[in-house]
Amino acid sequence: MTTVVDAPPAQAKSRGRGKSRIAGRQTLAGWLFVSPALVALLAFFVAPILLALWVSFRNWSGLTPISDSTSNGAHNYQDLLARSGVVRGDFAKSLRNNLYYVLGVVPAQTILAFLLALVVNAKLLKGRTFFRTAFYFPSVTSSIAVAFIFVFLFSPAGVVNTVLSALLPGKVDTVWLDDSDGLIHIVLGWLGLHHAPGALSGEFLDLSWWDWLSGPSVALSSIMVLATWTTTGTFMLMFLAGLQSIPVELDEAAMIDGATNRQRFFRVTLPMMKPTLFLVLTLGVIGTWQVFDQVYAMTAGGPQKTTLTPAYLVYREGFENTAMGRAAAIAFIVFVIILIFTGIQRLVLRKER
Amino acid sequence: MFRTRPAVILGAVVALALTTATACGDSGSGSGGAATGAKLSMFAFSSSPAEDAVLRKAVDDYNKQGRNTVELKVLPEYDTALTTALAGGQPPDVFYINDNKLPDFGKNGVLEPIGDKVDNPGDFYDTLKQSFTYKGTYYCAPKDFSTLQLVYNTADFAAAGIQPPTTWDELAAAAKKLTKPGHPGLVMNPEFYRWGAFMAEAGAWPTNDDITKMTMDTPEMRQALQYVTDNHKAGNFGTPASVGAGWGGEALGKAKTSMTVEGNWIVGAMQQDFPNVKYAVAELPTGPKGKGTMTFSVCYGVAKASKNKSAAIDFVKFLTSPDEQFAVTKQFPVMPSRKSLADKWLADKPELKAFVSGSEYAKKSVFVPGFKTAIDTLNDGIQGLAKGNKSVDDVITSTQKAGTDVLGS
Repeated sequence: MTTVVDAPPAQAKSRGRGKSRIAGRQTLAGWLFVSPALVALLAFFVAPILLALWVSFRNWSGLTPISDSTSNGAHNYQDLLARSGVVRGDFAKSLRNNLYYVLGVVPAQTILAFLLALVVNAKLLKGRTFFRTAFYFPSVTSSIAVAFIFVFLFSPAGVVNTVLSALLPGKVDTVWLDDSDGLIHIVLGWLGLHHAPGALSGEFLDLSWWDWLSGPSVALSSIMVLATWTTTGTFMLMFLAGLQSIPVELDEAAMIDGATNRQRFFRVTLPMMKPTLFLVLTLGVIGTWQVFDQVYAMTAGGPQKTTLTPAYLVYREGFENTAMGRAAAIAFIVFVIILIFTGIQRLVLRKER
Repeated sequence: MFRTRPAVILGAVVALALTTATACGDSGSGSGGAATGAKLSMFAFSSSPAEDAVLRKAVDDYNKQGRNTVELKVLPEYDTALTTALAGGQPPDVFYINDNKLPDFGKNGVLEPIGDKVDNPGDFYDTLKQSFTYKGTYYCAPKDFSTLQLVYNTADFAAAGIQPPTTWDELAAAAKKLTKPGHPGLVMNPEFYRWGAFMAEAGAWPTNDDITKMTMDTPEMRQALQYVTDNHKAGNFGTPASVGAGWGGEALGKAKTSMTVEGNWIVGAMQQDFPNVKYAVAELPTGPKGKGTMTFSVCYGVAKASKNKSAAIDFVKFLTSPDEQFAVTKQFPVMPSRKSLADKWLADKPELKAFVSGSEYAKKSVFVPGFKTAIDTLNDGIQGLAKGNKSVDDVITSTQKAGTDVLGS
């Protein structure tokens, strides 16, 4: 602690800001006040991340102290991205799965959360508090507990199949969490296309183009439904806060100008919500690229690796396959992917502004 | 949304490893301390309260002898907890090791080789010793073991008027006869650790005996995979998931099937969850190349970094002594890993004879470090075969490739 406290004033002086003793003391006090948080941040966040970055360039089993690890150059990254083999193939599958997961869950939860926020924000709705609580409830429940409930719902004799059997002709006995068929493949199958056409026979990262275009498997789609259900509440709350921060005068002014309901929504409410929308989308993208607990609890990456995600692969390689270095490398590649996605999103939303 | 992410856990493990690595870098080279008066720690996992109780009693009995004190930790997230402790340089003195993990532990020099330091080491089954041997070093003595056999519902067999099948043809016929809508005749997990028994019966195996080469592309392997696949295609075999069960035992207990392929653990599970279902165990039917099954075992490892190695060995000696082993396996019906105990163990449970018979021809389910990726690929393929969206050729090609990647030849 003392070292942290001592260092800053000297630094402040050298920058020429602490000319008077009072200002110097203030700087000292400032650092003193933030030091607990700063130390915690460094010890529990910055240091582990830097260490993990270092590990990603090492050959470390995780079964012996890290001092026993050996340098591995960029081999961990090469195995994942450059060298043809089962490691790259599995990583490609996890990227494919998670990409479909992000493309499915992020729009679904954002739109749903926004609609729900509009509903519970409506002044005419009776029992608003009840609905707000009800919609937020899944978000405060343990994700593992929710996952297990969904395992029962999606079981062959579960509620989902019972309801579908009642609604649809014939008996529905889909084994939701054990069906590896991709949704796009299923649709193509209805159109009579069961195997890869010649144009798609090539491979990218040890996964054929046909398999890249499989769509999320039925099992993964079930997890996507679950994820949407659990996270929508949180985002609804954010949208709600956003909606309530829009000044009523704006709406009233628009009304006086003769704007219709639709115009008021698209011209006033929606533009005012852009910062919130950006926040929700960013958090959504980050969260969905890190999906782990549902996969861990429900499918463990199966059936046929169609619910394998990079985050789960980190766990599998690190703790089950004793390849900590590779696990760390996966984590950093995902980090870069998230950065890219967030960057694109910023760019798109800024242009419209 | 805001939960602990694996990357953060990973980072924490690394941080822990670094901070503690220097503190105990010199341990492990010492003589191993005194054989008495030490405080030992032990990590274990447990599949049921019954197993838990048996283990706790064994530890209590040892502590009562007064030589050393053992603190037992039964951990739910075993792999993660053990890895963290090992990475931190302060592993437990004694810990369970699953046989399929042994090569990784051996390769990384985690273990003190104590396999032959227990009493009468020649008494242990050779297959099991092989499971815990890596590159010629026999690291740890097996705690107990299980084999896979055919477990069937006796009432269903009587109603259908059939005897336990002894050949592949008989098994297929029996499964067909016992199949009803939503009730396949036989249910087993679509994974190597079940289907492997059929490979063994056909004289096939993913690798050669030295585990230096993949041997997926053989007529025998094709025959084995084709046989099980055909039965799945015909609807006579099914997966647990397809009948809404988590594993074969649950399917049998819930009367969703009449036969399953499981190991000794099914006995405890049936007792606990389905006490009213009457079942029996028969040897798996003979395949084209004879009988076949797989063994699964766990051993008591002693950490090389332990400061109390002598005391730890004393404790393992106690646990693997014939009396103690018999006491542990009597309640929780895995089998003693000492050959000399087989008859005594069978005396009050003759109905489990098939599991013991398996020890004569069972194959170990252990390969080399990093082979898990190959097994995962094989399992991926087997799931596809059971579901019907992959061909035997696809599975053979992809597994051969994945395995060659690991073995490097």
